[in-house]
Amino acid sequence: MMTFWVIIGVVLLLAIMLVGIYNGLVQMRVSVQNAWSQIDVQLKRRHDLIPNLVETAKGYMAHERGTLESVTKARQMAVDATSIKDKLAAENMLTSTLRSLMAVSENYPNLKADQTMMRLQEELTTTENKISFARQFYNDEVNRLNTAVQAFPSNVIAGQFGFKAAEFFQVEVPEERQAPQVKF
Amino acid sequence: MPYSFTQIEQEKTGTIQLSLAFLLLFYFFSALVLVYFCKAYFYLSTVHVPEGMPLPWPALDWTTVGWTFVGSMLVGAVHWQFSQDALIDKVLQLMSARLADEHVDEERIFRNVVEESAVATGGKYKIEPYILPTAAMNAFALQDFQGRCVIGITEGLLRRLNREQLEAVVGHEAGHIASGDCVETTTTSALFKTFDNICDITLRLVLSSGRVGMVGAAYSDRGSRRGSDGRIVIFFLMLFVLASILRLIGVLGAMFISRQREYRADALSAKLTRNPMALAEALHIINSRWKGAGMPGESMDAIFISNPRHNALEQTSNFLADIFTTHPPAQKRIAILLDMAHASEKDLDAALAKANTRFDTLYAKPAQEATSEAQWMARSTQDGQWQGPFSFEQVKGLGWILPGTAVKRMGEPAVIEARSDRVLGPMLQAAGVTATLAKDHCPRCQVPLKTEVYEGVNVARCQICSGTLVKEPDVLHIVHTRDRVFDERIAQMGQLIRRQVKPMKQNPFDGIYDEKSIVCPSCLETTQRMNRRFVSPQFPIEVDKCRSCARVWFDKDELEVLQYLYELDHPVRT
Repeated sequence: MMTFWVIIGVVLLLAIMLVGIYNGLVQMRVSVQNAWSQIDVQLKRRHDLIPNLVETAKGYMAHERGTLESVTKARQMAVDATSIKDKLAAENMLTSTLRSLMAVSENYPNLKADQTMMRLQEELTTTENKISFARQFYNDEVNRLNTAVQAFPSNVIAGQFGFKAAEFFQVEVPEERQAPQVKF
Repeated sequence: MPYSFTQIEQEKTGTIQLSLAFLLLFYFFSALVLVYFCKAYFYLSTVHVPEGMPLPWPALDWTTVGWTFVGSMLVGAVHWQFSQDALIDKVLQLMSARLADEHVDEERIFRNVVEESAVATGGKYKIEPYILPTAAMNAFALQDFQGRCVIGITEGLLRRLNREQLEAVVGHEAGHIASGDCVETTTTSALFKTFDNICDITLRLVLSSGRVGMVGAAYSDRGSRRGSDGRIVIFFLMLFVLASILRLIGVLGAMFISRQREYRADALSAKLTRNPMALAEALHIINSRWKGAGMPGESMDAIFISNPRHNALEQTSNFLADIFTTHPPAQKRIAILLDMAHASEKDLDAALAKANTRFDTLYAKPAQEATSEAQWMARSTQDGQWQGPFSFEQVKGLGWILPGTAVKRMGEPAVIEARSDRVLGPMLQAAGVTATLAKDHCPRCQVPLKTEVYEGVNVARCQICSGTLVKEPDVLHIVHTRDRVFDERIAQMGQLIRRQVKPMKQNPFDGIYDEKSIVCPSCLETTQRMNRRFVSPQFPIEVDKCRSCARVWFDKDELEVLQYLYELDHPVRT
């Protein structure tokens, strides 16, 4: 009789643990999705800003047609991308073209002094910052989920119920990958 | 140090329960003391004690203790409810804060930066951006139990920071919110602040009941009822003493607010923005100017990034300071941040000079300076005449360029001090040219001051920066003389100061001085440098006052603004 109760107790304990771990995994997966949607909102916002930016810049920098076109093209690619992997690649591409556009615009004092341009630039700055903060938060959440998916004992349950490790949002711009130059 | 905001979220501190428990316990014991003395008072006044016998103090029975406990818990609960109800609205109203306006460029940027910090915490908090309409330099964060968050900044600070510094300051406040100590400081401050109100109310009661008692005493001379009125007065007096003790407890409330949380928020800001240097710059800017002593809400010092009041204890880092203050020494905070940035104080000075160009955008490249092409005009320290243009090499050879010399780049309209020029500043620093002290020389430009008659009194004025040294008694004479008409610019500066909606509550006379303060040109007292402080509470214009020879140094326009404000407040009847 005693052993019966002990077995019942152990089984109950295991069941409670299982439910707890399962719910934890679900919660982490949801927060990863939520964090991704946060990034998505900001990326959309950037897509909406770019046509205005290009339109304003066009009036001042007639000689930089190539740069402007590459920005527009990169934006279109980012809007069209469907899978997460394509999307990441396209967005990274867009970031680097925008950066070169801004670098070029430094040579046009009139453009820099333009009121509309100044506003757009501030909007773009804040959106870029938000993207990087949202990306950071997303990666933190992914890190949490991935640890749980791989660590014992939650990995057993994750395997059983099909919880997969999520993908990090990595920066794939070549110049950002380079180690910073250290001067002594 | 937790490495992500997710983790910070999980490791929130539980000091809030501790401070509530302390409050209830405190209520219980003080109520017990009050009840016991009331009981004893009424008991002793009824029994007759023969001369020379000890007073028969009544015993404290368990029923009394029990009822006191219940009563004090009730009072505690009411107090909690009272202090937490619409807490943020009350505080914001007290400081007359308003929402940041998106139609004003700077305030829109502030809104954006606050939104960014909300994104960084995973969109978990909806943070409202608020502006304090004052020229003071400070920022604060508020959060209540309902999860409403506010980050506020004063107009003065917002207008003096560039975007990176602003990001760092907001990051610091967001760090307070994310780490959970913001709820703690907000509620604790509000909790202990109610005692101030109670104290005020009882004081008023005491005064009015005192008057009643006096009238009663006048009537009682005719004979009938003596003593009963006096008893009421004594009762209120006792209440007042108790309220004063409670107020003292407010000081102890600071005990629950650890100084460490400021270091932690600094670190979180550095982590968020990856720019500890910007925060060091911002802290330097805040701490070298008026931080808001005397403005409404200054007593809630724990919510601010830097204590609005100057506190000598705060500058030390011993055990006592750890217990009784809410902020660590500013110099130490800056030193830690500089250490994070692998920079020295010299780098800080250079960065501050460079940050003069405001709101540089994210993509702005560092200006590649071709020193060979730039040319400068310099104003001679001898006769105040513009000379030049000089090339970089020529400037180097001139020998009379001091850190305070006025220079002007060819092609740029701004006249600046040589030390703030992006090329000449480092050059002077490298050459070791520092400010020299000389009697009756301008403390900023190092040129002889010229004695002038201004509004009928003798003042010493610098011909280059228009700074003026005035004897303190003469200041009154100057403001009373109304010979001058002020232009639009002076009027605008005066209006900005007057836009501070509420007048100063108390004397904000805690002057700031350190080794960077200027030395009085008249007495050259290096041990007692000039104090940066207000002209008076009614006229919150920052000036430098000498403590040993009672002279006041007005920088350019400061004297005129003072005169303008005085005339504004005291219109002449025609």
